[in-house]
Amino acid sequence: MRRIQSTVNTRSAEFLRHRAHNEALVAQFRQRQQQARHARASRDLERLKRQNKLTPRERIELLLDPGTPFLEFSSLAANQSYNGEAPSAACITGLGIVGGHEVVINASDSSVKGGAWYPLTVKKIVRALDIALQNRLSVVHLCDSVGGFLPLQSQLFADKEMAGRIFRNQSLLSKVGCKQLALVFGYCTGGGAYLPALSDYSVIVGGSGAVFLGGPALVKAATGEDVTVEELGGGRMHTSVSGTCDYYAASEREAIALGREIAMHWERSKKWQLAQEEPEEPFYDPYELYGILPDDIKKHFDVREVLGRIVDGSRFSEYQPDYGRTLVCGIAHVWGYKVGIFGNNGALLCDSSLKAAHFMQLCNKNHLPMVFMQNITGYMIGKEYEERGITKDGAKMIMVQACSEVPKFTIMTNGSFGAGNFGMCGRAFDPRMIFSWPNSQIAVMGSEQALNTLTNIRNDHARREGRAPDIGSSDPLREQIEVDFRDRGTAYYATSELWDDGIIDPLDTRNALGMGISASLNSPLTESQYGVLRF
Amino acid sequence: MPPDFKLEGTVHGVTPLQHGRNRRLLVCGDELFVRARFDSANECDVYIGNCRYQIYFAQSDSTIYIHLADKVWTLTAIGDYGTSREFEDQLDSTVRAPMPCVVVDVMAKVGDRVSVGDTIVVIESMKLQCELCATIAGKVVRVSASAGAAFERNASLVEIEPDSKI
Repeated sequence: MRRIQSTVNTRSAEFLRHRAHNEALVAQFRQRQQQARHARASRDLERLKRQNKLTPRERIELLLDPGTPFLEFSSLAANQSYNGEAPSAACITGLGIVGGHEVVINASDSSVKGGAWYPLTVKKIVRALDIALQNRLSVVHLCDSVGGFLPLQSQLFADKEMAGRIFRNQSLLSKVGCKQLALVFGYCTGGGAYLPALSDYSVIVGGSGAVFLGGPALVKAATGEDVTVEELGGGRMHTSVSGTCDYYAASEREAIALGREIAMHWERSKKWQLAQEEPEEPFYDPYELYGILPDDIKKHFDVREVLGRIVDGSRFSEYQPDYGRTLVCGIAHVWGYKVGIFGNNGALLCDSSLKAAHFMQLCNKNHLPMVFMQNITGYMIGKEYEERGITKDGAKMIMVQACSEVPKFTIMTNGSFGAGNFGMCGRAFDPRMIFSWPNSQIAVMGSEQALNTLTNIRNDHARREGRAPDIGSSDPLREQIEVDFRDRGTAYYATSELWDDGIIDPLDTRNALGMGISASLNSPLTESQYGVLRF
Repeated sequence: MPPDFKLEGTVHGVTPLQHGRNRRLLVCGDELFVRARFDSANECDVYIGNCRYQIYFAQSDSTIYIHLADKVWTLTAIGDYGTSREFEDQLDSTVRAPMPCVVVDVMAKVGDRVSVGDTIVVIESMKLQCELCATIAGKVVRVSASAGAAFERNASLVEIEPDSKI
C-alpha cells in the first residue's frame, strides 16, 4: 500500500498557530474530564469511606485485567445539564477487558447523589447496553444506586428509550448469549433491583449490598410492615433464602475477585476473521494532528493529512482518487485491522455521493468495517446541483449507509452540518461507536446561514406587505437562533446529550478505533441488503 | 505520487511536469518534451523533442510491452496508482470558481508576478473557505474577483499570462 505523501510544513507560522489553538482546546477538555471524574464534595467521599466503600473508579481498576486499556464512554455526559450536579451523568460506562473477555462496564457512581439515576444516566446506561447488544459483548454491572431521581421521574421512566429499556436490553443480551455479571456493592432499589435479577451471575457484598423492589420506608408506608434492610434484601437473605444473588462476599475486594473468577470460566466468543496485518505505528507523527486541524471551522484541511497520522504506516490505498474528490475513500489498516475509510474534503457533490454509495457497497461485500471521518458542511445546494440530482444522489448514499451491516465507526473531526451528518454515519445511522474531537461542531446548518435565511424570509415578507425591511431592530426569534446555535452547536453540548460516545483527544483516535474494531468482531456477520435506490 | 517505472530491469523515476496534449516529463533528472499521436488503440507515433518514433504496444496489468525498432521492451510500473497529486490541478491560465461561491479575499492585482502554488483568491462556499492557487507561473492580466462578490461555477476569477508558451 502506498504511503500518504504529506505536504504539511511543520515549521510554518500557520501550523504553529493551529497547534497552539488545538493544544489549548485539548487541555481544556482534559481539565473538564478530570473535574467530571474526580471532583466530588468531601461530604460524599467521607460517606463512602464511612460505609467501607471503594470509589467506582477504584472498583473498575480492580476489576479489569491488569495492564489492559479501558475505553471510557461519554465521560462528559450531562456536563451541560442539571447545573453540573451529575458529572458523567452519575455513572461510568466503557469497554474493558476482564478475564480476557472484552466486556462493557456499567458502574453506578454513588459519589454523586448516591448514584441516583438522572434522565441522562438512563440514556447513558441504555447506550452502553446497546453497544453490548450490537457488538455481542458481555457486561459487568457494578451496582450501587439509590434508584431514579424522583424530581425528574417523568423524564426517565415511561418512554421507549427510558428506564424500561435497560431491562429489555438486559433480557435480549442474555437471549443472544452475552453473559452478564452483577456485583452488588450498595442498593439496587425498585427497577434497579432487576439489574442483578436479570444478570446471569451475581455477587452481593454483605452489610452494604441490598436488593429489593421497595425499601423499608416504602414497605412501612404501603403495608405497615417493620423490616430492616438486611432482612428485606441483604446479602445473607438473597444468597441463602431467595436465590436472587449467587455469591456472598464479605468485602468489596472479595466481591470483585469472585467476579473475576466467574468471568474466567465464560466461554470464549468466536470472532469473525477480519483481514489483519502486523500493526504498524503511523509513519507521520500523530502529534502533528494539532497543527493540521485548523483554528477556524471554515478553514479547509486535507483529510489525507489526518489519516496519515492515524492509520498503520500512514499507508492508504485510495479508491477513485480522481473522481468525486470532495470525499476521500480508501482502504487502510488501523492496529492491523483492515478497514474502509471515508473522509470529507469539502461539500458532498453528486459524484462524491455516488462514490460514497459505491464504496460502502464494496466494503459490505468485502466485509470491511467502515470508518467515517466527518468534516461535512452538507450536500451541495443550488440550482445547478438540484438539476443534476444532488438530492437523489444523496438519497442513494443515505440508503446504502442505513442498510450497511458491517461495523461502522464515526469520528467527528471538525464540522457536522445538515444531511451530511446522516450520509456520513451520524448517530442515527447506528455507528458501533462515535467519538467527537473537542473542536468539533454540529448543527442542522451553519449559524450564519440560519440567520441569513431568517433575514431573507423576513425581508421577503415585509416586501410583500409593502413595508421596508426592518434592519437593526431586535428580533426575539433571531436572538433565540443565535443562542441555540452558539450554545448547542458545540462538542460539549453534543456529548452532554449523548449524541456521541464521548469526546476524545485526537491523539487517542487510533487507540479508540482499534479497541472498537476489535470489540465489533464479536458480532455475527450479516450480508447487507438495500432498499430501492433512485437512479 | 506517480509510480516509478522499471525498463528491462532498471528502475527509472518519471515525474510529470506538465500534463495535456504536450507533456513535459522529468525522466531521471532530464526534462523531456513528449507528444503522442495515436493511430489505433495499440499504435502511436511518439515525438520526443523533435524525433519521431513509431511504436506498437500491448499491456498486461502494470506491464507494457513496447515494440520499437525491432525490439520488444518490457516496461513495468512499480507501486500502485494512488493519489496522483501531480494531476490534481489542471494547468490553466484562468483561476476559476470550482463551485458557486462568494469571494472572501483577492491576493493578486493586475500586473503581479505569480509562481506556481501562490494563493490567488480565497473563496467561501458551503461554509468552507478554500484557497485557489496559481497552477502556472506568470503575470496577472485580469482580476474579475472582488471581496464579497458572488460567482457561478466555472466563472473566471483571475487570468494569468504564462511566462513561456509551450
